Amino acid sequence: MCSLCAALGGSRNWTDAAGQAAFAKTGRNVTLRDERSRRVALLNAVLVRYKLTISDWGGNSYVLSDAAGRTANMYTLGGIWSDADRLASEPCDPLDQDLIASLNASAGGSR
Amino acid sequence: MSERVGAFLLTGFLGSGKTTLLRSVLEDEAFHDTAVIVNEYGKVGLDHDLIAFSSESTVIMPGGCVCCTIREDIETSLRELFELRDAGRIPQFRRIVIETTGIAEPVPILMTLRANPLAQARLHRPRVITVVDGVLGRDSLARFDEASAQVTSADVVVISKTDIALPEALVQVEQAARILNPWAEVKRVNLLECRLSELFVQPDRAADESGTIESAHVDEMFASSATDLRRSEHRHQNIVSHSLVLEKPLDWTAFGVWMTMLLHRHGASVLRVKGLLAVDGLPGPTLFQSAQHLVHPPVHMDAWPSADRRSRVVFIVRDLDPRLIDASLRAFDHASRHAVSRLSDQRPAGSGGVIAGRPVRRPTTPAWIRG
Repeated sequence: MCSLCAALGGSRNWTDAAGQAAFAKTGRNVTLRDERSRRVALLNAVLVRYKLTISDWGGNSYVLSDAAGRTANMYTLGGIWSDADRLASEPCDPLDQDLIASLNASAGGSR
Repeated sequence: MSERVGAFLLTGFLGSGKTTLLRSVLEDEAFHDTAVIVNEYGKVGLDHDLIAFSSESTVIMPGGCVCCTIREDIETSLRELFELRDAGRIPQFRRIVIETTGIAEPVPILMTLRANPLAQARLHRPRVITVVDGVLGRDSLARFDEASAQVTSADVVVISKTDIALPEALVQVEQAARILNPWAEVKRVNLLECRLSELFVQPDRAADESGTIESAHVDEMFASSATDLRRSEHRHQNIVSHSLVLEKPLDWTAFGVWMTMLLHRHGASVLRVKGLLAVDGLPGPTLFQSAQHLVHPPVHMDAWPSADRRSRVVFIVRDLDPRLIDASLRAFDHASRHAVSRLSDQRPAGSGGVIAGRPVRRPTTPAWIRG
């Protein structure tokens, strides 16, 4: 636990690449910070559809916030979605055709 | 620490023949050292009456369904069994069979066993044996979500009542089972005559404990679904088995974000996912498996088992459009690469900046903080 902010140590999740021997062995070690910044970048691209933003907090948790300033704090990637459902006006669905279209459009691809 | 105990989850829809199967195995002298946990459903402990003789280590869980209300009871039953065993009050047992009710979903039990520290330390990875009624199975698989979930989670599917079922019915049941679960071993058996003791022997696989899976096992695993992969989609009522093949390696961040979001929204409908993923930057494939909300830790392997290095994943889903799954994963992968490429344009706050057109170098973090 961090004695300044009382944040618990990061909890492991199956999605983590940082610290995995398989990723380290390739010579391109994935750092926790790098992985989390990539994750936050993608999450923000997804959550913009629901008018939410997310940021990394101290390298071990995430802070989700909406335009009204309501926030939620969570430790794992899986935990984000239930709070996102609560803060957003509609349920977050990866199979939503509008979301798929907006992701493809934001990435500038034709796929 | 004493030797790990084999764990077997015996499941199957109402009246399919679970107890008949278990009773014949327990009659085998070699299987007397089996502890049985029976989930009694309703007031009549019929299953208990039939197997009460099996050993003193039978623990009956009080009424209710295993899947939702009394998950703790599996933990309690397990703890009691091990306490009695360690105290020498019941004989040493080498395996535990958990017989579920006919309408139990197996995934919550597997989840309980995965999360429970006692089960983690003292049990082998549970093996799921599902009995499907050869006569009524096709109908119950079509009508009851619990029945289909039992088959999708199975390691072995036993089709029972082969003596009284019509041959066409058996073929239909087997076809339905293979669509729901292309990886399970399927056996057609008359349980009254055939004793299936071999099902309750712990398979000797390093994979079970170390989490590493050898290439041979992967080949074997995909051999059964190889024919399915050629055709991309199979349908059984509202359940679709869809094979997704991706030509390009996946971004692992995108896959993690996408899968957690998919399972959060549609976990109950994503009955099973299993496949090899080509992940950006990794030399070998990543074996991914999930059953509803339960995700097995992905195994990153050193080398591909064959020359085919594309991601090949089979999704078995209920009431979901596989084309959307396909499009969604591709969109997330695409968006992740784009988001990351924009990220590399930004510099971290500590790396300095430009003031009045001149680069400014910020003080670097001292070595003792960087570690």
